[in-house]
Amino acid sequence: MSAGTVLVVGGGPAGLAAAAEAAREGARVTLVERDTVLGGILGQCVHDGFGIEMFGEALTGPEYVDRMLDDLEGLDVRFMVDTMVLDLGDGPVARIVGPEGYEVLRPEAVIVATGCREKSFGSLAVSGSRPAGIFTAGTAQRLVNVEGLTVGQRAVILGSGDVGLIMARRLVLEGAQVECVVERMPYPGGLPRNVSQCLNDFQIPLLLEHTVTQVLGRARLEGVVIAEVDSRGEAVAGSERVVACDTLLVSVGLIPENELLGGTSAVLDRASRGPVVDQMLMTLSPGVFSCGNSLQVHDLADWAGREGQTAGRAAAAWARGEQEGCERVPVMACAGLRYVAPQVLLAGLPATLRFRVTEPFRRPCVSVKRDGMVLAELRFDHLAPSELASLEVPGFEVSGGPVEVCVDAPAC
Amino acid sequence: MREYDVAVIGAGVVGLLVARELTRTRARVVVLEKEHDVARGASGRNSGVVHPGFSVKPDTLKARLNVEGSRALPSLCARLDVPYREVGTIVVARADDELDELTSMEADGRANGLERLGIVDAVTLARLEPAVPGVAALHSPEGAIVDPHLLCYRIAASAIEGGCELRLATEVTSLSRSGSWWEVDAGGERIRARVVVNAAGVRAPEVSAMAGAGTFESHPCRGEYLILEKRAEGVPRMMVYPVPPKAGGLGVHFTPTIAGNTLVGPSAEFIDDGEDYSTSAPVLRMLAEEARDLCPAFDASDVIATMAGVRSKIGRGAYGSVDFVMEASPSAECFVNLVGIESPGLSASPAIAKAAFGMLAEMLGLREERPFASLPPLPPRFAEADDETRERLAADPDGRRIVCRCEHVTQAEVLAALRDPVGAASLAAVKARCRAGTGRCGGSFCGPRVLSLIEHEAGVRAEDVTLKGTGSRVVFGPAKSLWYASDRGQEGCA
Repeated sequence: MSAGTVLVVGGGPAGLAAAAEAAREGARVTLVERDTVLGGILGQCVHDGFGIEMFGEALTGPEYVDRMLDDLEGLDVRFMVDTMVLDLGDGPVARIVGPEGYEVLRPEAVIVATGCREKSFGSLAVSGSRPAGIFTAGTAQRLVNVEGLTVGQRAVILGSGDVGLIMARRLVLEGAQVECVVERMPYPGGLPRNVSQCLNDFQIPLLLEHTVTQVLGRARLEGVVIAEVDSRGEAVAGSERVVACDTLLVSVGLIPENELLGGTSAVLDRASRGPVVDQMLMTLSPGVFSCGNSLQVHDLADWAGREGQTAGRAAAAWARGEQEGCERVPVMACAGLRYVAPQVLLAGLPATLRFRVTEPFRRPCVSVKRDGMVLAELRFDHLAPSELASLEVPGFEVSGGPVEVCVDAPAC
Repeated sequence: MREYDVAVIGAGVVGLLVARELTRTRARVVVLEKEHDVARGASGRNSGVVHPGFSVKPDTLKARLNVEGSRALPSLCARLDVPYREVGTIVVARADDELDELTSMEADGRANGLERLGIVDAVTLARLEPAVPGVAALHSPEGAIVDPHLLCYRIAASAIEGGCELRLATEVTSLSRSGSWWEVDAGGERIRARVVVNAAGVRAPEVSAMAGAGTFESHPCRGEYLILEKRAEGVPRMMVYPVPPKAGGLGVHFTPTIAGNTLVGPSAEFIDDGEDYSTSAPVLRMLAEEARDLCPAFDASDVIATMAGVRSKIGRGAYGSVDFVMEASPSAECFVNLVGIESPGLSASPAIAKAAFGMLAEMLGLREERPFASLPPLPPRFAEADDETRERLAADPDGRRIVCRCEHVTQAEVLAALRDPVGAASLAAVKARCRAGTGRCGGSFCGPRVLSLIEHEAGVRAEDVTLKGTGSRVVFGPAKSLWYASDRGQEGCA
């Protein structure tokens, strides 16, 4: 690869947006996608609601992808599908394999847009055997929507994350009986509109403060044991009951996929489970950028796309040789915030801060301060852990201490 | 009715090694296995440890066979092209009152013939294994690990190549004597064999009772494990054991695996049903606590999976005090019982098989007449290969498509697993052979792809593909509303 080359890893909403922006900025872009088609997880999302921010319309996943591909029409982007980036190293250097064989690439910049994975059933301490019929919600979605298969006839959903809610409805539409959605917390994990349109509209019970403690059956699932949980998340003895079912969908959390960064000097933020980045979305490995669900779990594909655009522009600039040395200021997330990204700010440049709270807040005020001076603040109607929120911060020049992001309730 | 010289019941490591030994003679051998794949019992549900032999009481069959077997394993593995890694073992004393126990184990080890064994102080311990604090440790550099599934597949392949017949999904339902033959009902068919070898693991006492070959008190003891992801930080690189608990057993320990994961466990619970491989939340939590006690940097969020195995214990009592039973049954002619093969069963397996072969040779007048059949070498794993090898593997179209993206398993490797001479086609069988599905996503991403490959390769419908044999189908059939009209799974959007 010659000067000004950008490698985008992943052809989902973030990667496609990054590729388009980088190409517009004059970079020579190669996008590598491990599936045989572009679109990432959107290809299996047959429900609509995508694109309201990007395109002003509620589109299905595949329709959103089509719009992104339209946007890429005529831009200098080379697509390599059915191709996988195996490892990354500082440089950056990438090892890939696909229909064109095994190659070692040395682009000027890499944008890691590899999405996220679902927390697996195996990592939960649920008693029981390993019967068939237990799927993560996303895998069930793939089997139903892409492979055209029926996963089961009678289902329980563990976790009220968006994917679980969407699949509850999907299974009903496929003729399955969905017994209930079980959620450990006292509030649902997914968006309110999904609770309404997927559960309420289909009379699927949502059991808050409940969990699945055991799965029954050896060869194929025969049922699950459901119990109430107390405020510490422990099952309440005596509250157990058996719900007969042949399918359990697990939707208990998404984890950013950034295994590729392990071979670089990028550092992970344990709280966001994504890499430490600056507002240009560059990691601590020079020339290696991160965006979309691979950086932090997004609620909306549109926002993953916006992040992709930021990374695309920044990577193209980096590839052109515009590698400025700015003062780098750490960002501290105060109590009440699970994390804030970016975790580092380059002085003199504006930033979009994204964050999640640790618990629900009513009318909170989120403020960004440095050395006692307020750089930005915003009052929200409400904030919940399930909602990724954002705040714009203008560039600052003054030297000094770290930037602090705090949340206070009631309103400021 | 088909006739054999030897029918081996059970395709675990012991049964398979016995069958393999017999391929050097003229004996007609069949292995009858009730599961859909080999090594589905204890042989596939263990830590993969080759114990050098300091944790067994001297002057027992277990001790003698442990040492003999573990000395034979490196060359057996080399011959079968199975990786064998000497990672070393430490038994850690965390308080001064545990030092006596270390000294006692060292003495046992020496009595069992071990030379490279010694007690190290806290400073040396910190250098050897920085992840584990302690006041002293017993260090055995010979402690090694193998991939028990791979070992069993290669033994099975070697046995099949040597002319042995392997019948999977074939459960023995009755055994009766008829003249100088055993009549064995298995898998809906009756066969005859001159000698029967009972290597049925946790079900061996039942099989022995079925044949009138002796009764054994069966006390199955389950062990649950945590499986940590490859990038877990601060975990030991060697095998690390605590000083054995007073209650018996080896205690909850850390074992690195050939694949690069780490196992924590096993627990020890006596259960009624010897094939109840379920895990239980309280035990898993206990494992996490004990892991953290031993290794302070242990982080429970590194757990990506859990598993369970069951030890074939016969006779309750102090843990590990009952010895292996390896005998020509005194109550039934031509019936070899290999019962109570629990730890150090894997380590001892070549020696157990050799002893069993000795009995069979005598019973049948067998002689070694030819060498073991040679096996083609195992192709390198794409994930572990260097650039040059990867280029070579990528010359094959199937070799350049990644199916399991967590473990970088190629389509060529999955197809090779499905075309393996042992021939089991389930998601579990594929997983055990080529590691597709063992990664951090728990098989979420590759599951549908492997399902599709099994459909095409085995020529079956999707609803006939199982997770792990009969009754465990993954899907129910075609969806009501097909999003894509044809060629399901191959075409996508756009």
